[in-house]
Amino acid sequence: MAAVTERLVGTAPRTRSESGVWSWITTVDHKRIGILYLVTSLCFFFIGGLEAFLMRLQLATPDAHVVSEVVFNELFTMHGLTMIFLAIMPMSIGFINYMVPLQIGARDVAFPRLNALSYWLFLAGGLVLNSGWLLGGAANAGWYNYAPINIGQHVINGVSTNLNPGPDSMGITFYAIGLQLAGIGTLMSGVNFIVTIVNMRAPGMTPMRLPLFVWTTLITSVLIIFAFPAFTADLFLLTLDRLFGTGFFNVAQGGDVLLWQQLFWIFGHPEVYILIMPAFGIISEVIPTYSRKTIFGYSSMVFAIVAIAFLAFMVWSHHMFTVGMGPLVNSVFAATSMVIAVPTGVKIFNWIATMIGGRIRMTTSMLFAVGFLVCFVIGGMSGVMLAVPPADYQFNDSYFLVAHIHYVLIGGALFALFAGIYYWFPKISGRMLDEHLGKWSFWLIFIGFNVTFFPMHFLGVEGMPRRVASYPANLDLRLWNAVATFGVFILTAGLIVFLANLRKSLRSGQAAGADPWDGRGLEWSIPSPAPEYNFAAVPLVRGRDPLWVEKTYGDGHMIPYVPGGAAPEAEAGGHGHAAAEGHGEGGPGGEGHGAGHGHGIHMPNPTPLPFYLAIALTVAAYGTIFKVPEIMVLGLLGTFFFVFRLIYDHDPGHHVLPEEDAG
Amino acid sequence: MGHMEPAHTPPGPAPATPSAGEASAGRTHVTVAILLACLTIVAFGIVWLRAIPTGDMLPVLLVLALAQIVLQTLYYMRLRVDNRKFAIFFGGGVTLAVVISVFAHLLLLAR
Amino acid sequence: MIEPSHSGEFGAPRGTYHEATPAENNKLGIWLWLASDCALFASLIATYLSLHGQTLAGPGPKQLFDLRITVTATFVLLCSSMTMGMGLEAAQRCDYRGVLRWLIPTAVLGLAFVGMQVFEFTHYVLQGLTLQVSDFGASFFTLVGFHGLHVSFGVAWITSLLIYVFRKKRVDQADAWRFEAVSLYWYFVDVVWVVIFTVVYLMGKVG
Repeated sequence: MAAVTERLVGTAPRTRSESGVWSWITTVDHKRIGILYLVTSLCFFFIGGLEAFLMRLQLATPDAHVVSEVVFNELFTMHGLTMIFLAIMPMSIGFINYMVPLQIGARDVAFPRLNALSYWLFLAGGLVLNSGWLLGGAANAGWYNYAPINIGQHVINGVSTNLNPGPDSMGITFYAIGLQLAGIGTLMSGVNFIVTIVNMRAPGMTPMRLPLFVWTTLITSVLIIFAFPAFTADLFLLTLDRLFGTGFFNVAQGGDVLLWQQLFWIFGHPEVYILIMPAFGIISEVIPTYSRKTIFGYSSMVFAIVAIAFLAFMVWSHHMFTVGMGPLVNSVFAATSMVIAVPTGVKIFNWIATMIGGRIRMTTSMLFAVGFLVCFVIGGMSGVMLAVPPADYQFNDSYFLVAHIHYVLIGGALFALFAGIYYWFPKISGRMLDEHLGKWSFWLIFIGFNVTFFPMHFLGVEGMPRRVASYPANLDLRLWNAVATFGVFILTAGLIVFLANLRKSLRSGQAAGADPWDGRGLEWSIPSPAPEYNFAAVPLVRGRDPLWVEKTYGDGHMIPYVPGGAAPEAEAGGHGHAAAEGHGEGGPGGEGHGAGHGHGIHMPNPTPLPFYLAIALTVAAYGTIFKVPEIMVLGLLGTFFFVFRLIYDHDPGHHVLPEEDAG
Repeated sequence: MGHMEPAHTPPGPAPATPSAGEASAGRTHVTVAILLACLTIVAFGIVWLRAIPTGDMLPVLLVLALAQIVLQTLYYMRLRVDNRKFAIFFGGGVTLAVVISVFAHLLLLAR
Repeated sequence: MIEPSHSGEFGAPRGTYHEATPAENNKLGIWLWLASDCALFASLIATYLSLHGQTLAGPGPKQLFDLRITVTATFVLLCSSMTMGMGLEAAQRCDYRGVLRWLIPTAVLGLAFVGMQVFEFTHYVLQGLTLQVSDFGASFFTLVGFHGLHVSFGVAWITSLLIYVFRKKRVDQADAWRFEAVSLYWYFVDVVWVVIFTVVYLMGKVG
């Protein structure tokens, strides 16, 4: 078993030579990019939270006038977009960036520069989308932005009416261009993670030994690269409609309003699994660690992940039951939707079975994981109810749906991300979060969340439609709306406690050491925070939960991999493995196997090129939004210039000498 | 996951004179190009000359297109000999994309 | 990678460990990008198929398309694929002159294809088919134009590669992946063209 006493040696001193703004702009280190993602997504999360807060204030009492109807439309649209595209998804990508290379024993992702580019495009997209608030109105047609409202038309009594193309239609151009930018970044992340996981695992890290967080990352990335193109196409068509007068979604020109919906949900349903999959992965890491047991039913977990991903592509029309596709189509999609509950149930039961008989430590992270199980099951059950088409005709576009999506996205994805924050924060920062404050924040968030969103089930069944700015006093909706708004205050208090906890930890947190939780995966075998090169020596993986295997069968430390088979029990070593040829825009690695060869570990150099490329593309984006062809062309020329600079820029890299103690 | 074979493996310094293997690889390119040209001419011909009834034309054209795609991906893009990972990701993804697009198209037409 | 000769149970790895080279990573990355791009084209083709019947006041595919132009363009692209293959062979045996001999024609043929498309589009616009007149026009120009942009980017990429080797005056083994990447992209653009030629032009002419 592990010797816990000496673990604190693993805390790395905070002596990163470069720490200025420029070093963050030019960084290609997956860990720093991960931190950028995490911090940025947290900022967007609080912006989205503020939007929600304003909406709940407006809805607290009947006939309220906290905000105008126009602003309310912008608030619910931007709240959804911000939370989905700019908060939860990038927060997952942040954890993926930081943890996946550590968990598979790699020194970086496959394409470090592309990784930086992904981040800068995500940030650019988020800023462009939000700049609508200041530059002529934010998006205001709901996060799914249905046609023909998205081309500025409302159909009233069968007559299509053009809204005046003033400020309120500008926001949707910001939507189209901003999400396009962020989407390109996400697509690149997807490619990057797949190549990393497929090609860069440490020796012995076979597919069926991969940590489940890595499996969910792989499958999430597959979902990203095959689902996002439909959205890219959809946004492209929308941009053409709005800026060049085509009529893809305009019936008068022969267009089809359902075309937007089809393409949107072909992307949109996989997207919700892109949001929840990494959460599944985090839960699968947290529960075994705090139960001191290996995950129950590993193979069935992998199978369930793959099955859910496959089915995710087969259910998109269940978002469109009420548009009139007919009973046959509705029945087929109802059936595929309900089938998803089976692999999801497998996962739930496996998590519970992992806890049964385990030595459970109820840390804050574990509390969030258990809270996830409870809330996600509630959200899953209301999901199955929504999958019944006749019932969906009642639930659709009501607060019941609002309750469902928040139970799966807050109770599901966000609780898991909080579990991830409390679990991995010591690895990322080198410092522990305060458990006392942590538990306060958990209970406030958990109670506040349920008080806010459970009443929305009732509101929905009573017929309150979503996306209305107000409701009359005589509809008997007053009580539960007031309760929901009260819950938001509790939830906000919990988030403030969480922020205080972060602040306290960063200022005076207890040093974490390499392995504060008696962890199981490779990420706990190296110092906290992880050194630039991650692993001083490439570790040899001898089983699932590699560090735990060494704690059980070895001396508690990873065995360095030695090419040629000198490692104990390695039956056949490498046949004189070929040195990396052609550095290209290469990742790290190369001659880094045995760290003791004198010339250190080869790492890529920082470069501002991805940042410049993102700026050029942002210039092009604004040129497009404001219809200034010169600026658009200028931006695009700059973009291609930097694309080719990146392709042909030879990165000699640099060598880092690892410190002696590998933790 | 399979062992990654580098696809381009004439190891060591490059041979100065073209060997028999390269000549045959060049021949493959020409053969495939000729086959592709023939298929294109056939497809063009049956449409231009209205050689077969209109009702039969769609499946025939689709089969001809499929044959060209298979030739190009297997021989030009070397999926036949290259790492199977590429075939899995590309083939799987393309199949998924085609199935979903066809289904979405049918749903849009069905109304 | 380690051969998956055993499941997740405890044990040291068997088989050889092969660390992926940057070139191998790049190639897998290119394949994933192309697969993703395929899904993008699939979406646009589905859009075209759903909307191409909406000719409204504008001309329709049957009266508009001149298959002789299109089939010539197809052969141009086909030839460029073959020369690209030859160029790749040359690059793999580090044959600098061979690379120039085969890749310059490839870029020129690609440019010719784009030129023919510009000519074709101008011709259609003069006949009254615009982006705005009908959704047949909108979806046709979007789909085919998007492919044309792909070809143009390919030409730019090949040109940049030619400049790169021209400045070095030689081709190294370490550069082989660059040629493989551009060739995969180029073949992919050709594959997409086969689909567009069949689905848009041939079937459009059949009606």
